[in-house]
Amino acid sequence: MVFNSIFFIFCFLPVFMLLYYLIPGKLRNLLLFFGSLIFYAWGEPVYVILMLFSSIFNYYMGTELERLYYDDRKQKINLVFSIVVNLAILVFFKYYGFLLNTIGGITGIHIPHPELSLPIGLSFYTFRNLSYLFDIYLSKINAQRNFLTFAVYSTMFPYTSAGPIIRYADIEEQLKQRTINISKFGIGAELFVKGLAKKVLLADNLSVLYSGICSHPQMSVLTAWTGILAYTMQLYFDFSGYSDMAIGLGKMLGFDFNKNFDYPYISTSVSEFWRRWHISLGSWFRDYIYIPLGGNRVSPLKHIRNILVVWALTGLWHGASWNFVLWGVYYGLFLLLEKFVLQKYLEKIPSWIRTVYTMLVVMIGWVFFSQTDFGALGHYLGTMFGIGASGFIDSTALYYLKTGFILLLISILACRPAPYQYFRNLIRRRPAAAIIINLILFALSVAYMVYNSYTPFLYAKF
Amino acid sequence: MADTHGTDSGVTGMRNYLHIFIKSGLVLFLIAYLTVLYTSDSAKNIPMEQIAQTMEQDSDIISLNKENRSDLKHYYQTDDRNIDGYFFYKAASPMAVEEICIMKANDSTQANALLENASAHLAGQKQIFEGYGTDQMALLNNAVVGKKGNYVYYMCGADAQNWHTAFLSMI
Repeated sequence: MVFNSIFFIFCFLPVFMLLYYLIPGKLRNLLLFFGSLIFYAWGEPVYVILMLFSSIFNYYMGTELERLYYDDRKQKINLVFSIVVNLAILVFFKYYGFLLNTIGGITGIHIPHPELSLPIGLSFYTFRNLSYLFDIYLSKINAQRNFLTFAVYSTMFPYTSAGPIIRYADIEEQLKQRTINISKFGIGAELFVKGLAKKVLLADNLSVLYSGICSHPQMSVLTAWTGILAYTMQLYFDFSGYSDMAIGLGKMLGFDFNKNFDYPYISTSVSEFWRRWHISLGSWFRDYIYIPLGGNRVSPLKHIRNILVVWALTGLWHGASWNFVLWGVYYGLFLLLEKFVLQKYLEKIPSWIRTVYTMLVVMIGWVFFSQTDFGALGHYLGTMFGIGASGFIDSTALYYLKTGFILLLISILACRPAPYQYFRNLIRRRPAAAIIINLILFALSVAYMVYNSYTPFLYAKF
Repeated sequence: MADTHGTDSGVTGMRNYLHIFIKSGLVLFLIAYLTVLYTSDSAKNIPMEQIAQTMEQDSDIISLNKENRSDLKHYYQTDDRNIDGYFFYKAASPMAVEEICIMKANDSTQANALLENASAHLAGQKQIFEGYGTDQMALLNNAVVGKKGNYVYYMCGADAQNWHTAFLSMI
């Protein structure tokens, strides 16, 4: 099941919420667990077994790691065993074909292999469960003894499909006891509507614009830049829209999840961008890969190695394809460049120029992200800089700029904090107007969903 | 004391064996589950162009109309921009039900959503012809709708079973 479907919004969610609010507090975790299984099984009847296995395995290994607290060697062996099993599942579904193709590419031997469909949200719940095990190993948390409580953490439907990667420590208390009230429900519902509107009204329309542009084999420089601007906005509204919906649903259920996006497109440096974009993934890699490798408290050479390893892995996490690795390394190189060379210069220039610089780096980065084929990637990048372009400007560029102008303008405005601050002020001053705006956004989103075909979340495939 | 100590270490040893047994059981279960998945739902990653080339060798298929992305959206409520590829032929006459559509989804959720749409399309067709279109209903009752790996297919026609066999042998 997906959030942007009529069935979820008008059938699953109301029935679930009604039951959730009517039953006694003690039974809420049970309902949440079974509701999450139904939510997942709706689109993944086979893979719900995998998700359940993952919950049982990681619950058990959590208690094992805690039991072996006084036996360092055995605890380490068990941690390695848990990591191997979790990563084996991920590799089996996500990287198996990629590895065989890579080996085939190097050796010249074609290895035929069947393709299995990727279980939705696999990377997200694998990383979530791994963070739980790492935190027990590092003695940051105690293992959860109640299976149902852990299973709720491991399978909760708001963040199953596309994150955020919620840490157990952040919601440990809420898993046991949480407050639900009408005010929290209202804030959650408003966040959900905001996320839905971002996805359905902005991201899906930007997707049409970008794919329309990409269908042209030959394009001008301006067309290519318009296309990548549309994709830049699409990706943000798609993923941050999902995160808003997840956090909103969490609030409706009484949880407070940390934010996953913090207006990344107003960043004044690439390093700031990564502190604002997909925050839960960035902090995961920082805490469990970068810092254990030594972080920046090592020799400059090792520091460079640590950054490049972390960013290559971040790229690979996004997809089993070399373009994602390249995309990760590209960011790693820019972060190194900023750290060792650009930082002192960036501090001296006006912030708007720094934002323009950041956005240029980010937009070029999204080309690596969007084009899985190296030929197409090279062609698109080349066109953006005039190589192989049909000119600087042509009628196609003008057509797309004219038809997409309003959409792009709204998108640029909506990725800045000002409209949301205005809306928050409006809620305080005129709550009725805020409710009406939310209702209009909801009605428009639903109308759009009824009229248009199902469009999956971009990040759900990771 | 010595006996008690011996009993304690015996219990600890038993517990250790029990934990090794549980871990081995979990791993064996995982291997069995993945093996079943691998043999039942997996499909080779065949480019849609190659599938089209093979399927278009059947003269019955190419006698149908080759449909475009807006037709795909119309009949299956999906947009080819959101899927990895498609192969779609349909009879030109609205009174004919012969049709073959193979879609490749990007992930399992999308594949399941496409399968739902394909099943809904078949149900819709049956609703249209039920009661008066005897020939059409015969074809629709033998139509093949299914999913293998990320591929979702709808096949309706006198040769639907042969199309199905030919397609499955490819993937």
